[in-house]
Amino acid sequence: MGAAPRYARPFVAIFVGMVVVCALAPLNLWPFSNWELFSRLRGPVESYWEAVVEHHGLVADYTIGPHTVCALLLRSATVRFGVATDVRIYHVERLLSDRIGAHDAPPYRMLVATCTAKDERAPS
Amino acid sequence: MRRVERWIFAPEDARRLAGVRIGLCLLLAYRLSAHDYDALAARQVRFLPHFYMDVFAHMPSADLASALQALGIAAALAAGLGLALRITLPVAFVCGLILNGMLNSTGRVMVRDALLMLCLAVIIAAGRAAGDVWTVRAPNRTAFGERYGWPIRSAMVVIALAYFFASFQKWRYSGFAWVTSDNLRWILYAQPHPNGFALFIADRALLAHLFAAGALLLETSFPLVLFVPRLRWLLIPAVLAMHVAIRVALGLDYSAQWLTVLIVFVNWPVVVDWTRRTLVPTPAPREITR
Repeated sequence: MGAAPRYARPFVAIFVGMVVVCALAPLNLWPFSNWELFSRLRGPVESYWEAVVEHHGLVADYTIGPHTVCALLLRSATVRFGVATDVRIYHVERLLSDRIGAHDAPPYRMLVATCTAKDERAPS
Repeated sequence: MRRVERWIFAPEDARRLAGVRIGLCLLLAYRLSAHDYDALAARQVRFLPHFYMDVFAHMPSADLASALQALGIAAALAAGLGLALRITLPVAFVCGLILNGMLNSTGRVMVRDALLMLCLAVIIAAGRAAGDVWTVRAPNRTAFGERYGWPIRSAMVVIALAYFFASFQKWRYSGFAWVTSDNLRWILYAQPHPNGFALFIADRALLAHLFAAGALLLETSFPLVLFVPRLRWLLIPAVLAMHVAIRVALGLDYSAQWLTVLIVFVNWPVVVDWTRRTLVPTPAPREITR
């Protein structure tokens, strides 16, 4: 009545073994996690890529991946905002400690390229 | 190794295992009710299947998500009551796996419910032992034995390892710089809208170092709760405080994790007996007169 079942010992060994292996490997076989949350150092600068579309005098910007192809950008901009003539791509850098009161200071933006229906232009 | 085995397989009060079963099942029911899974399915986010979610060709539909949510909550509540435990508990667990899998398949794997699911898996493995007492059918039965101890202590080992490995990875990838660098300040600043508490810490380098050192020390030393039971009174409230601070400063909800810690480490029969004694004091024996 009171004894542990026969499978209990192998179960505990395999289960705890899985927790250890997933952490050491590391493997993220959820719910067996690698427990890597916040384990890597953050730097003082946050950088990302941004696409800017002008449409009927309105400006829309959104974050993009670093290797997004021009044709894809134009197509998605057309789907989202109507016929887009050009999409400007900026590399944005923000110094995290740069703040104005409780708000972020404006980031530093550098124009990297302009995608047009005809071609891709680097800034002159 | 023999000592570890003897500790894991030591006899235990059946009510303690039942308390853990009830607590984890109620927590699962709460967690399943806290998310809008059908809205997630309806939003048509890009489906990036994580691990076992590969069995789905696309994100489960909103209808399926709603059905799984309702079934999962009902099964978890029934399992908490000890009804048809060998069916209800695995059903609740599978619903939890799929619904959490949906959240994890949107590009980011969440750690927060992992510990709850791991501990529930151990309770499922306990089989009938988890439903021997404190059930609708046997509310007052008591029992004691080896079969009630190993699931609780296995869950304790898993929890201790989870915190230890969270610190181990910080040592592994960042080393002592995790404390001495401005890492925590950048984490706090990098949020889209850091609140006053986050900025209060981030603006004071020394305070940020102290918080980082405290967190790393706490996670590294957490396995001591297994060997020195008295330290549970210190380390478990400290873990709770850490998660509350993370919630306030970063807005990250780890309630499923710290509630799992609480449910597994609290000795429920002692709490219940103490509450009974406090609420219904036993009458003092009358003086025997001759």
